[in-house]
Amino acid sequence: MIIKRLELKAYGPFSDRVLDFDSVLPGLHIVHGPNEAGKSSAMRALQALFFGFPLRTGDNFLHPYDQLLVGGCLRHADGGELCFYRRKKNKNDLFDAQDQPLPPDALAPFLQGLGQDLFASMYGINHETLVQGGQGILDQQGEVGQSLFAAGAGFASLKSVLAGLDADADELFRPRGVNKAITQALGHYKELQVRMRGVSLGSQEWQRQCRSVAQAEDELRLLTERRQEIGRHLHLLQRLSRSLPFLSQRRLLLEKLQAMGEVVPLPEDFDAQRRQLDEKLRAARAKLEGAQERLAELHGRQAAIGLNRGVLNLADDIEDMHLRLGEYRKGLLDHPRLEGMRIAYKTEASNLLRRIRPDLEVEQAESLRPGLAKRKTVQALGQRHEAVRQEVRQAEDRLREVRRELDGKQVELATLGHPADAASLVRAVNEVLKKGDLDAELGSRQDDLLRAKANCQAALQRLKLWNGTLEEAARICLPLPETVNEFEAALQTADEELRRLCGEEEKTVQTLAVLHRDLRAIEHAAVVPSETELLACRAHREQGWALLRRRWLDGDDVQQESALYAPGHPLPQAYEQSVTLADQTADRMYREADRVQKHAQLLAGIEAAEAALSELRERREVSQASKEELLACWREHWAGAGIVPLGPREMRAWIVNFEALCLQIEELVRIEADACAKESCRQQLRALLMQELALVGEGATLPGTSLGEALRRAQTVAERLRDGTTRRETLLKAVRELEAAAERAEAGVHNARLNLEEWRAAWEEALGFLGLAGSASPAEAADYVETIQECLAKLHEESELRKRLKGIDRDGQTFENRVRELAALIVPGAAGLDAALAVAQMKGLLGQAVREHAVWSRQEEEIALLGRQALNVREELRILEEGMAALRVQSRCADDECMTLAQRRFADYAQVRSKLDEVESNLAAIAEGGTLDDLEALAAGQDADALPGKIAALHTELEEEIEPRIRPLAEKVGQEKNELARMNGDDAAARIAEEMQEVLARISRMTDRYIRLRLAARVLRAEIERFRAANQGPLLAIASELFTRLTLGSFAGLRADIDEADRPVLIGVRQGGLLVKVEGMSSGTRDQLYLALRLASLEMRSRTMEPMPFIVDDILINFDEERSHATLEVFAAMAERTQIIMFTHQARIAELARSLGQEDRVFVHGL
Amino acid sequence: MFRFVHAADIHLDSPLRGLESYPDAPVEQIRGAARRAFDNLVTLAIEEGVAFILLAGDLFDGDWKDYNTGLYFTHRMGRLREAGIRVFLVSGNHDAASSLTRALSLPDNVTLFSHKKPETKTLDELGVAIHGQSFAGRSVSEDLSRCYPQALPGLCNIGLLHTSLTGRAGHEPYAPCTLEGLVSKGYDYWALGHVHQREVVHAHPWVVFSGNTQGRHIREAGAKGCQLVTVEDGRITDVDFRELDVLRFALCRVELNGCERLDLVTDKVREAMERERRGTDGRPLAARVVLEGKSSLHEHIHRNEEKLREEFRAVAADLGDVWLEKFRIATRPLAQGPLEGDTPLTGLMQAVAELRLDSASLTELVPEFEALRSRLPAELLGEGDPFNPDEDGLAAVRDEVRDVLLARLGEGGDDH
Repeated sequence: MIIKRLELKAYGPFSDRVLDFDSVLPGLHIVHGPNEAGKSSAMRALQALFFGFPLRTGDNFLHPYDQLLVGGCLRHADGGELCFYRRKKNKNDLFDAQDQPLPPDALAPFLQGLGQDLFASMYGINHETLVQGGQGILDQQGEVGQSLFAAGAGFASLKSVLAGLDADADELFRPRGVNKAITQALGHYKELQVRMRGVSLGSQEWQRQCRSVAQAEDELRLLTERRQEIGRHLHLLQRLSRSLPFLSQRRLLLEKLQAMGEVVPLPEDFDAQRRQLDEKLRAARAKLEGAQERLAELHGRQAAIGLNRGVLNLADDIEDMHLRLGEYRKGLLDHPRLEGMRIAYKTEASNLLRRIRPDLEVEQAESLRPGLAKRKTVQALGQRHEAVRQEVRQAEDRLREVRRELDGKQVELATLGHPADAASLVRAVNEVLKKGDLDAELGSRQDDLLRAKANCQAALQRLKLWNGTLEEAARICLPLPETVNEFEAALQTADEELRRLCGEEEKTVQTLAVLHRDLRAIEHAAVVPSETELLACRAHREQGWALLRRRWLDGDDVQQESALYAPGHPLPQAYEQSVTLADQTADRMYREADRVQKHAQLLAGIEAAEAALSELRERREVSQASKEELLACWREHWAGAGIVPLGPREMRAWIVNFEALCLQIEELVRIEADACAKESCRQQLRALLMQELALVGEGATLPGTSLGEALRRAQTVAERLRDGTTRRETLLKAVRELEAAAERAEAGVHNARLNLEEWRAAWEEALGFLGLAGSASPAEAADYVETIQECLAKLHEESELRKRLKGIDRDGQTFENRVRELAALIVPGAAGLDAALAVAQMKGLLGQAVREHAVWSRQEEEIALLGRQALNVREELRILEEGMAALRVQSRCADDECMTLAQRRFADYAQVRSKLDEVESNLAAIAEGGTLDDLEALAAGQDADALPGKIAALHTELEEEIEPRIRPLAEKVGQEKNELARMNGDDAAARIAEEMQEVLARISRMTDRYIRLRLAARVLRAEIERFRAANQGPLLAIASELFTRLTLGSFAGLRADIDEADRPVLIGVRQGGLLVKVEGMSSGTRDQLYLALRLASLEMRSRTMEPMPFIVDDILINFDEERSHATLEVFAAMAERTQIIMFTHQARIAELARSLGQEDRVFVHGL
Repeated sequence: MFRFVHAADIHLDSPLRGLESYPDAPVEQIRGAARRAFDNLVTLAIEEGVAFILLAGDLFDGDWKDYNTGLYFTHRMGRLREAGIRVFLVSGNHDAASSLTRALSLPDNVTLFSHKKPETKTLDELGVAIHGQSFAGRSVSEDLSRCYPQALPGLCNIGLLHTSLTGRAGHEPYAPCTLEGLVSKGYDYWALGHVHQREVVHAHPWVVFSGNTQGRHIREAGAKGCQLVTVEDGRITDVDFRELDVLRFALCRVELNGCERLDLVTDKVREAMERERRGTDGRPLAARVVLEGKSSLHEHIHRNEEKLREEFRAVAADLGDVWLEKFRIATRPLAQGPLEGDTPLTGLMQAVAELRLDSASLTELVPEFEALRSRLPAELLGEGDPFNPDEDGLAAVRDEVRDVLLARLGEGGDDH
């Protein structure tokens, strides 16, 4: 594949930049650009072209993402070409020159199915890779297999890959490793297995446990029952033993009670009640006496106080007068001051009125008030006066302005005439533009035509077997592909048949020869007795025996016959001989049976083979004839086209080539027709343009036939005409607008003047109301109104003061009358007193009466309280007397002495009764729910002295026999039950089983991974070795030569050798024959060694398959001038077969490349 | 009208397989799944007030020996007994092989059919006749149904049978029989067990595999449960599937065609898991993620396999009750690699493609495998022995070896 062209339409810093790599030889293309020129962008663009844009790229700083566009043209070795573009899109990013989408895998045949990474590593190299490759060779210690493999695939080193695979696998498992992941998981699994066994419950174990629990429980139950029985008995005896002393005490007490006889029962608190009542009675009586004494004393004091009730009844009136006294005094003081103020107001009003209307008296001033109703109107009119005058002035200015502008525009319009109409010309121009650049298209069509014609001619000449013109080629009639296939198959069948028959015939001849040889061998070995011979021998023997028998048993004379039978021998001897001969013959036949059979078989075989041979020969002849016939028929099929055909297979290829030619011819005809059509279209359009130009008076002739010149002239004229028309329309519109404006301005002036007239009429009318002349100015009118208002205000104040003075006089008189009436009621001698003095005297009397009344009231309250207390104490005394009487009835006594005696007797009785109760209570406790009589009955039969013995015996049994056995047994039952409870159907084992499955899942996953890693390492190692074995010779031969050239002859070559560890390693050979290991080379030399290996791989690959372009990125940075030169020469030599595109920012590399002087294959492109 | 439950293949205490635990996996949510599913069965029966339960074999797992499992079962049967529910069961191949079955004493509400000949139990109050026969041994090759009696007239006849019918993929061909043979008995309902995939083989009369009650590995994906059957006037009127499982297995296929970013892969995996989880009705999910499609990420995915596994596990943990069962890469690269010529890579791809097994085991190819194989538990070496793959397995191994190599070599060549 060759990159013919790289188009950087819109990418990184580039817009419409094209790198043209099209050349006869694939060539070495140096793409040179200084730093920042976009060398890296161009390389990225190439990657994007082949493999699509990456999701994010920094190359969008000039063109946004959706505008990024790269294009290119690729050529395949088979001549196929693909020109295409790629945009940055998620889908359908690939399309052809006609903007039609291409399938995503359209590039696959060109890129040999390589992905981006593999393509980059196999067919790309940069400085970093070079250095890493050199380092890789060192890391691999020059191991041949790895070095060749790595260089062949474009990898730096395989050591890390192999080491990584091994390390990852080792991480999982090593046979003797302890901490490896799988080993640990296996350990965990085993641990779980052990735990599982621990918690699993076997079914037999469970049944055994059930039985064990039942047995222990039975035993425990029996013992517990015995313990309960002893306990019961023991308890009974102990009770009896405790009850015996209480029983005898009880009997004694009962007897004492009986001796006391009847006793009056008294409540327990009888004594206390009695004492309490006595006490309360005494206290009540004392309290009653005290209350009565206090009452008498209070009554005496009240009689000593006399109350003035008359004054008290009028208390409210006296207080009222006292309050009003202040107000009365103030009225007397204010009167003279107010009178003075009133006279002053009146004087001021009179002065104001005289200023504006000297003709009126002050009392007539009110007649002016109605005129004030119009004062707002006058005010408003006064304010509008200036506005109305201003309006008139402005309207007149505006009218003058508009008229001046209108005159100017009309003059300009008159100077501009009527321009011509350009519409038709513009239509014609548009039509021409719609057809596109016909001149250029036509030019390109004609180029295409010439090229296509040349291609067709060349193809025609390449085509052998047929001589004719291109036109004839289109009409020639060839056999159909099916016919060719049919013939090919038929001929192939015929050939095979013939070959098969010949083969068989040859085989049969060989077989026959072998059979004859074998037959001869058997026959030469010895004569084989036949069946017939054996039969003859036996008949002879039988004949001898018959004769002998006749002579021996029958006594016949067989002399004659025996002479015939065996002349010269006596009969017995002859018979013996015949027996021996028959036996020998039979023995030989038996011994030679195999040979006999083989002999017979061979004879039969020879017969069959001869028959087969003759048949085969006949069939071969028939087959040969039919093949000849077929060939004749084949030639006949081609006679129509005048061609003497080769074999069908060759002719099929020929037909393909011929059909390709036909397609090219068709294309040629199509291009020709297209060119003609375009030319006629161009002429038509040109005529149209010239005609339109003439119509607008620009019809001057133009030289040549090109459409472009005519189009440009038409466009200029049309432009000019369009401008004139536009200007005239603008002016007309302006004049119309100005005329309308002038009319509006005149109307404005008229309106303003009318407004002024209206204002004047209203002003005069308003002033008439006020009593002013119409000629007065607004300021004068305002002053007049203000003075009237002020005068009226002063008069109002004066009238208010007069009313107030009248009120003060009236209030004073009323107060004095009232005081006099009151004083007459209370102080008889006060009739002639001043009102103020009378009020003070009444106030003093009232104070004294109030104080005396307060003392009297307190005494009255205390008397009432004491009366209520005395009543309560008497009631209390009555209740206490009743209580005492009740106590006497209770003790069945008439007096206090008797009561004291009864109390003493009852106390003795109660003491004995209490002791008896105590004893019975103890016995009841011992009886434990039984009656005292039952207890008496039980005790009656018991011997008190035998009881302790019985109790001790039972204690002994319980403590020494029963208890010691119960405790361990109960513990055992508990344990067994616990054990059984543990077997509760829980899922502990199931949970461990689940955990085991989880571990198994992990082991399984890791094992799978381990297998894959180990297998991968193994396959890779085997393949490295295979690749080395298969390619070492030729690869090293090429690499050796390249290495010599790249190192400027410092090394004579490369070879493989075996190192101390028996591995094949790369060795450099110095000119003098000195061997240098890779460890002994400088790093620069190792880089060149890696480069030599890479180039050798490419070179070797290019011999067997289509070479791919080799993309080189500035690898010569650290090379000196001479080595750079040598490298470029090596590249140039390779460029004969392989396209090499080298990007560099070094100007000297471009210079060096030019200085190689190989213009046919070395090209320098600037960025 | 009454109802009964048909369930089968309980495999009590049989552990879930193929779930590798990892931090944040919902471990506790999947523990005891088989038991909890069975508890659901018992609860369903009590709540629905069914008349009886039919268990069509494989109650226990063949090689499971912990008697606690049997005790658990009798306890649950006790609950059913209190609720007045009877249980009829036949033993299947697993039960016949189980030591638990022999030792277990069943409560009186549980009836186990004989393994010697077919038996018929008649429930007069319901008008039902149940016919059944247990497996005598772990492998029964004759058609047991052939000796089942013809339907009893006037009753609703139910057949209880553990069988592979005419054979089902992934199941041993035990007690084979034909659909025609079953139908010809004239029963109203055939309650079948053994096949773990639910299937209504025939309706009117009903021939039904209820499937197992709880999926145990990824090949038993989807809803699992029992059939709730309604009988009215002696005729089956409704057969309704009820879900019982407490954890669900699901295969999440994630299509990566055109996907170009590794982080989007995680998003897609999350979407797929969420989609599957929506169908589980709140149950925990054990999901196997399979990445498919043609993508430029193919090599990246192989290079980042471990990292992606961790990420997917994190996604599962984030969703709360999802367990990443396994993560498989089945994507394909955009470009097929070098197509021709003797380049190192074409040679390498050829060598991988030619990996063949002349003998039975991979240990022939790499003898050091024997050291690991000899230490692996027997459970891993039976069916699906990783060292002894079948043709499909070997093809998968080849693909993965190829991808591992391409990814690692590509990484080495990334610097270009």
